[in-house]
Amino acid sequence: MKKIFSRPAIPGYLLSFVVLTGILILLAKCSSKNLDISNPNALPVTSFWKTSADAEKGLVACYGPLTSIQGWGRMLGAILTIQRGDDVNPFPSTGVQDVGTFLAIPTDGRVGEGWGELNAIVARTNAVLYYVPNISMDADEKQRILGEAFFLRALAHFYLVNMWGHIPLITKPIAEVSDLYIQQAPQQDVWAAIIADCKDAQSRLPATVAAKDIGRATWGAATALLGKAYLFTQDWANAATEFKKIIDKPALYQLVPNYQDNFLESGNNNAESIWELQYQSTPTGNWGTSGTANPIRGQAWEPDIAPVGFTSQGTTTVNQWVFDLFMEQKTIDNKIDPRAYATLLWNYPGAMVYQQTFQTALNGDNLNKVWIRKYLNYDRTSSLTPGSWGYANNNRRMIRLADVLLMYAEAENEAVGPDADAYAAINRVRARANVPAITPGLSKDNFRAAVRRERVLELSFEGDRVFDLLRWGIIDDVFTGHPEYRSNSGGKFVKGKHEYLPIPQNDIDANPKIKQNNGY
Amino acid sequence: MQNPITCQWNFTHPPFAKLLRIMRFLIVIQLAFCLQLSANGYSQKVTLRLKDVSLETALTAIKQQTGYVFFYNYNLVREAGPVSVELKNANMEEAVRQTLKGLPIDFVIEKKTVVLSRRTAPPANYAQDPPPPITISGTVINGETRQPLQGATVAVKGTGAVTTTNESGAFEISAEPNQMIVVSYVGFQEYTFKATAGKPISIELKIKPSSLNDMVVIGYGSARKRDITGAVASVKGDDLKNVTAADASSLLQGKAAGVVVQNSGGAPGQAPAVVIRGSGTFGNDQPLYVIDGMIASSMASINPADIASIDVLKDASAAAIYGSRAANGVVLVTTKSGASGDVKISFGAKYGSQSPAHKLKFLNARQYADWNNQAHDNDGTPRGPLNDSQFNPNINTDWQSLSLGRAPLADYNMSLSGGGQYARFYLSGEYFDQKGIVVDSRYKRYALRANSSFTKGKFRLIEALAVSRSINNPNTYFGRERGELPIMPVYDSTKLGGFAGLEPAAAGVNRIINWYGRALLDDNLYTTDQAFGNLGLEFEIIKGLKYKMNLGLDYSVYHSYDYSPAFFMSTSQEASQDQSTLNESFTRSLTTLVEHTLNYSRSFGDHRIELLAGYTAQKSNARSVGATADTYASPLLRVVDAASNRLANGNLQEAALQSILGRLSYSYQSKYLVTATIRRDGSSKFLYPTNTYGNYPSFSLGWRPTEESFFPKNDIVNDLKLRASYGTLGSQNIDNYITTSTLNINTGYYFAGGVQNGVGLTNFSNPDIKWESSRTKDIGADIGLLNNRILVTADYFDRRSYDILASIPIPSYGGAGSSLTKNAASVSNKGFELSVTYNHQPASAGGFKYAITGVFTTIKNKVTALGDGVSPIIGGYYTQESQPATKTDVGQPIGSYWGYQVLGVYQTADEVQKDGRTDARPGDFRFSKTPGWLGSPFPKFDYGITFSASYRRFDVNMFWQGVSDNKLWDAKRAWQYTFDYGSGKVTDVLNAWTPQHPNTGLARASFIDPANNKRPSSYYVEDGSYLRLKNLSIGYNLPASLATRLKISTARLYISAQNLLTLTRYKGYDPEVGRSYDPTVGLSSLNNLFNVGVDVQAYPQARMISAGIDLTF
Repeated sequence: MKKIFSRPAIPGYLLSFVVLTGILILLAKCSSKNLDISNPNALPVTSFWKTSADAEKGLVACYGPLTSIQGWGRMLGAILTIQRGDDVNPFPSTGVQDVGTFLAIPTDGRVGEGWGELNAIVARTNAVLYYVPNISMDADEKQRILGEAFFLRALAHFYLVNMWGHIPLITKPIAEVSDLYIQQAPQQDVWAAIIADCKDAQSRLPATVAAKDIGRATWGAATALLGKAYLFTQDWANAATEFKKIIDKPALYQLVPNYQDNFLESGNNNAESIWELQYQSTPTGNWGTSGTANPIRGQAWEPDIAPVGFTSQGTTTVNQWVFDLFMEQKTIDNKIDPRAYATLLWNYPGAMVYQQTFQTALNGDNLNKVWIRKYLNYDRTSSLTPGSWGYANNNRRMIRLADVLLMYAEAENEAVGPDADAYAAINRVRARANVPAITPGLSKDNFRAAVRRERVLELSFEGDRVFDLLRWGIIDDVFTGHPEYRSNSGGKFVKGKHEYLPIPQNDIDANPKIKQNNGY
Repeated sequence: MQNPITCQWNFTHPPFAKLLRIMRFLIVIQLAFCLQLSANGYSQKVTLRLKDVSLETALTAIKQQTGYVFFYNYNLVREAGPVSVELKNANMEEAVRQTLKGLPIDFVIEKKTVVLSRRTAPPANYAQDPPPPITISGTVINGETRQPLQGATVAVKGTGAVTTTNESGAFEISAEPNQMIVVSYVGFQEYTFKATAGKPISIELKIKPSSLNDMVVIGYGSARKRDITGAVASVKGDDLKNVTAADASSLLQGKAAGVVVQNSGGAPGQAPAVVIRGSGTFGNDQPLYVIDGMIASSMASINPADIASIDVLKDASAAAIYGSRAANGVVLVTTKSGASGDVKISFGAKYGSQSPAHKLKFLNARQYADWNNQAHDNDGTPRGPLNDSQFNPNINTDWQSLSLGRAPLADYNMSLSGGGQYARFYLSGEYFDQKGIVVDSRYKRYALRANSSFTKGKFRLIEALAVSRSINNPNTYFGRERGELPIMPVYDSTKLGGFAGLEPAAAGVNRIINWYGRALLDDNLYTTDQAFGNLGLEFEIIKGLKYKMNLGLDYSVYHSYDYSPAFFMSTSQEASQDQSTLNESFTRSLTTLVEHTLNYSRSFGDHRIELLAGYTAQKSNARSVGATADTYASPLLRVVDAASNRLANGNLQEAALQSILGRLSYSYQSKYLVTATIRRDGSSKFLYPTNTYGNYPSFSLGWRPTEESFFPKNDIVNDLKLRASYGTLGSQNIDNYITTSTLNINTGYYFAGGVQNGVGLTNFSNPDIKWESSRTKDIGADIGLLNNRILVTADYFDRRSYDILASIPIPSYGGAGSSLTKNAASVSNKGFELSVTYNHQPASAGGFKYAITGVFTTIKNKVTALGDGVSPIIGGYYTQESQPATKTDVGQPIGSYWGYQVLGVYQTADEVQKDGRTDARPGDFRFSKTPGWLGSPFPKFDYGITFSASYRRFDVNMFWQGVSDNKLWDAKRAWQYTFDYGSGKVTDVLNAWTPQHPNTGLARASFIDPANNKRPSSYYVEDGSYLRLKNLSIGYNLPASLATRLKISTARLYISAQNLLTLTRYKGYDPEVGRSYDPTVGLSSLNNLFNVGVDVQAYPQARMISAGIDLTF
């Protein structure tokens, strides 16, 4: 040792430098643990799905997208449903109303938002259905949670397949992003999955829930959706059977005397409602964006249907044929069908637009147009602008008894013809509106036409019209035969294309196995 | 032991013992921060064996063994020839005597100090009578500042007789008549004169025109500019002082080649974007700021008057010592320190009056009403009665005059500095107060600084501490309020809030909001309190080897307060609010830095070596909590507790970075230069431990042909240095926690009984994310011409950034987002930068003296890859419907404009039909069939020219800055010209197409805009070139006699004009659009690279005339 250091091979200063540097490096090595910092603001995926509370929170997350601005808060609420019908005539507004005016392209943000929100429900229900069975918890509670998840997954798939036609079918949680690179499923596979999920939900769900839980899926909701799935796949007998189960439970569901109660906040969660979305807002405005800390879950599509001057959005008028249909018939005491006043807004004596008279609120040509009344919140007396965002707590009735009755009448007619049960169902709906029963002894075809007419009178602007046109196979003829239905925008329906919305371009780009819908 | 190297290196102790001692010392310091060093380690006996070493070396060796301190005139020791000495256990006196044997040096030992002095007695062989010596006395002053220079060396040439000046600059020296006397001082030109008997003389030293000897801060040390092989731009504090700006980074604009400063409008307190050598990321492209060795997020809180110098590290070689954070360049700020001497007090006061540099011409009420009617007639929609049957000729509101006007600016500075041999200090205080030229906007700052340094033996302690409060009170609606309709009155006392509004239908528009009223109603206040500083402890272990510990601190509390009272103007969207709302939050941030560095610097003969090794650890932690509240009993109550509806939020952000770093610089005769740097960084932002670490090496070479014997010695090219460097740098400017998938707790749902909590996966994360990196090549030259009167620095660089984070699409049907962040894209920045300075020195003091500096930058930015499957990035949204102005795609600069070409205006229905358009009518724009590229927001050239001159007591400074060949997207054309919702219109709309006025380039008026005339198109694109006289100032220095009478040392009065003249063709308020203000992001949206030059609502720059005074005592 001594020898080495008495004859240093390298200068001592350098040696000291090198040794000291070594100490610095050691210092660095020792403390590298400090670099392992995990996110203190959020829960990692791996530590969830352990308790019944986790199961409940995971389930609630499946409901979350329903009322966001991207969901039925606005996009699914009006832009992607109501505005696509032949009953409305949307004004042009680039980037906002392109779906309704047949100008939507695969990069349309609104289309992508609705698609994303429905698929978020699918993904979250997949997680619940995958993880919850392994959680040790109360068996009844587990069944209920699974039942709700089955229902919501069926609901999301139902809208996805009806709006986009050709969708990937995913029924398990995504472990790796690469699991997503699959093909679209045949439509019958999707319908089979919807029907299976509805049955799984129907068998697990209770008929009623506690007051604080109103808004959760019930046996009735699952049964109605199951019937709808049969109806849409033209399995008439099964459809009629399922609808009948609901009709046969008068203790659960009744038509409310006043038709308009179905579209006002004061009539939220009434006896006619089988399942409805729960809107709830606070008085300060915001967007209700999905997945953000945001108290606002108000109904925010009112601006998309409110008359011009009461909205800064494109909005829409109502096509003349709808107005004419309402005017064609009278109540038994020879008055205008009360449903017309609750559904439409036109220049009649005493007509109001919010707190103004129709005649002062609108001017020029707008006085001669027919506008949407249903779902507008006239009762608001605050200084809030009518038509401003996210303030209404007026729930969206997703399935109500009147709809079930008409679907039953339709299914029964298709399955066995217009029997007494079919008549009873449609006439029950008409009687509530104080309009006369339909002509007895109609042929099957005429009865079918009567039901279809009745659906317009009863259900306009509730978002079902475009799906009805589609399942009846008449959407092409209706729009190509009546270009005036889109006179406000000059939009042209292209056969073989506009039956479905475009698959978002992002997903086509991301996964080349996904085929774009025809024409886009 | 005859090895000459051993002797040269003065190696007398077994190194092992010494090393142990050093290591022990270091460990003690590192682990306990406790300084305990026992003097017992020294011996009173000297053992020494040296042959032919310099006297200095010998003395140092004795000093190291004994701890005795030698006190001597440096020249005395340097002039002594080599000594040889052999001692064994000699006592101190004997050791010194032996060492000085044969030298003309006497010594005295007092306590532990040895004082050496020149032997005054004539040497023994003294033969001839010399001429009798004369005593020359005088004072030496700085020719620039006229301050006395303490410590200047006065030497009699060829004799070794030397003295230094005292604190008042005075000296006295003996010399024989006609001997040459040389006065020198670092950084000044030598002054030589002949010794003659007479009165005391006054000597003015002139500052050396060459800055080649300047020290440049290079990160963990400094270097002589002449030895630097990397690309570094230095700006001295004095060059920054003329321009007034709240944020000191603005002052770099046009001053440093390769550094592009984009002002984003002129809002008080608005930070500019600083881009060094182009943007090489899609995220945060801002540089790393290092203030006195402490990492900072910006320069916003620093008092510009405290800045001594700013050094910008541009290439990989210079910046590599900052490794993973240096990809966007590094800005090193050095604040002022005290100089030894008398206490100096400086006081500066500036007061300015600002006014808009440019205004737009808006339609008056009648013109507007006509235009609005025309639009409705075109659309076939009913006219708004207020423009038609109910037009009120008494209302004609000029919103521009209301909201844009004159505003004052005041800036007061005071500093106190001084010190002695062992301690120095600099204390300063600032009050800065700028009101905005837009109503209801203001920025204030209070800043205090205390810098000091202490030397005790081998220890040196350096401390810098800055405490500041900045208060920003912005007007968040400034872009909108001037666009209100002239048919709307301002006030209406009957309405809640007191401001007027109009019903949209009555006004014939979709929405109408009194933004001016909203600005006045709203209360926004953002306050930052900050303590920022560092403490450095330096210890010279052995000569040339220094250990330094640096402890840094950045502590701040940010308070954000936005209150908006309930008001009602009309039923228009955004024109009413039925509840007062408060949004308030606090964020407390703490960043700490611990650094241990070893610096070894040594010359031996022609070789010079510098070694640096270090370890650094940085931690940051920011915790925020806030609340939104509404439903107040009274608008006077403006705290959360007074609201009946409250919602809280908050989060914690933590990050850590640990690094080791090393640098080796070697130079041979200052002729051949080599620098190699490496840094290894570990960051908490990436998956631990797989992706934690990154290595950043660089290498550079320099050569000075002018030092070669073959190079002709002349005054034309007197200095030339060629440089080349190559290296890799990283960027970790990304959010925390992006690599782990977490569950979102904000997925709840309202059931009838109230909200229930939901937890769901809403986004997939990519655990594989790693650092963004860039490789930079740089070739440069530093040239001194005409005896260094002209200095040129030129650099060519090629910077390739890769692994840039980009969003790749993933199927959104996965239910958890539509994109995943991945290291995917590449961007190339190539450019050339040039800086030229010419200094003219007058023949006599007080003569005409001037300097011109030109700085020129050209950068070509290009996206070279986006990554597999990554779609072009769309950005620059400029309309209500979010129409985009920019697209970022392969082969084009980031954020290039994209849209249709406007080919004209349709005159007939035939033309419309021929183009197959069903949506258009005569009067609508005719667009190209497909969209295409419309230009780049990046200028081809960026330049700045500074001219400064002085003559007798006057000085003038002029600063021009400009950009050339860039495009701007004048988004205001969408609403202030035509098309968009309710907004006042500029007079250009009078030129809109009508059947009677067909020869125009402007489409017909329309609200519905069925042909989508407002789509992205060449209609918005304008030339963004400008040349701006940023500053012109004229100063006058009070005569010394008057100053003395007033008991002050110096006094300068000045007037200054900012933005006096702008040459541009741009039609908006201001061509310095920068990264346009985005109200949804906040006051500064510097990270948004995709909206550069998109003028949605730029705050106009002010023209300012100011006057001020600078005094020193």
